[in-house]
Amino acid sequence: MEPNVLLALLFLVGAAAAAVIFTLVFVRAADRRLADSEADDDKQRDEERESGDHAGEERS
Amino acid sequence: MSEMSSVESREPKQPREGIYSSSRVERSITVIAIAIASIGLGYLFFTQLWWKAPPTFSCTEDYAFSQASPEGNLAREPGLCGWIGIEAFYADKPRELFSANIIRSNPGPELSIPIGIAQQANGAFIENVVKPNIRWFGYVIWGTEAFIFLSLCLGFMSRLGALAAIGMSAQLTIGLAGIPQPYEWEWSYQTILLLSIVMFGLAPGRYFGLDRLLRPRLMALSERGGKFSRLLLLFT
Repeated sequence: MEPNVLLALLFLVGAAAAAVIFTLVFVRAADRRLADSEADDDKQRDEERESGDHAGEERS
Repeated sequence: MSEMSSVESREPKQPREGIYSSSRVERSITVIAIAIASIGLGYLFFTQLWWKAPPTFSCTEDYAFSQASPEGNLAREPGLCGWIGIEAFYADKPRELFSANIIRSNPGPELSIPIGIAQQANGAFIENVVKPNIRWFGYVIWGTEAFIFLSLCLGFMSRLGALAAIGMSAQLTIGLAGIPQPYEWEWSYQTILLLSIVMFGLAPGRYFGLDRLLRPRLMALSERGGKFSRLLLLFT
């Protein structure tokens, strides 16, 4: 096999591996980020509910 | 009325993205057919990488292009430069695409799309951009075809890959489809172009490839204001 063809084949294999690795890393990072942001949303919602309850108690 | 409401109740309120078929068998047929077409088109581009492998793209040492001989015939050169020269040679010889010769006794087709203006534009692009920069532009051509192969076979950023396939096949169709010498059957190129358009519409990675993993996360992130995610979402 000619060296330039071998190099081109290696490039394609490397690019394919890079695409798979990028996808797996992105999936893991995105899942973590989305879980964190969902937890933050829940926390904020709880805090808002609690502050609403306090306001209700003070009014009564 | 009751029949209509029962049909409505059977229909999902929000169709699942990409796959609208109702049964598992239907969905499997759709996914398998799209995967075969996408991988097949990607493989076509893979097969065309090797006769023009870098760094020389199988051109002569001085990167000579095919051109008109003193007698006006086509004098061919090898490799990518040879085919680019052929496109330039035919750029000022108007052709028609999607030709249908319905009445056989009539010379020429009754239905066709003339592409003279597109040929001239393609010829100007070849003469002014491709030919003077072939030493690096060859890498752009080779790299684009390699990307199309990877994108359509892995289902990775497949809408972008299909868009690149449309660009590449449209350029080849304008440049080479239906030329007489060497004879290039116009439907070879037109079929690749039409299949690329179908792949662009379907974005095949949503059915079988890496885009299936990427897309739901990109959608969730872009809904939360991620600009990079929104950009990548367009490519999947």
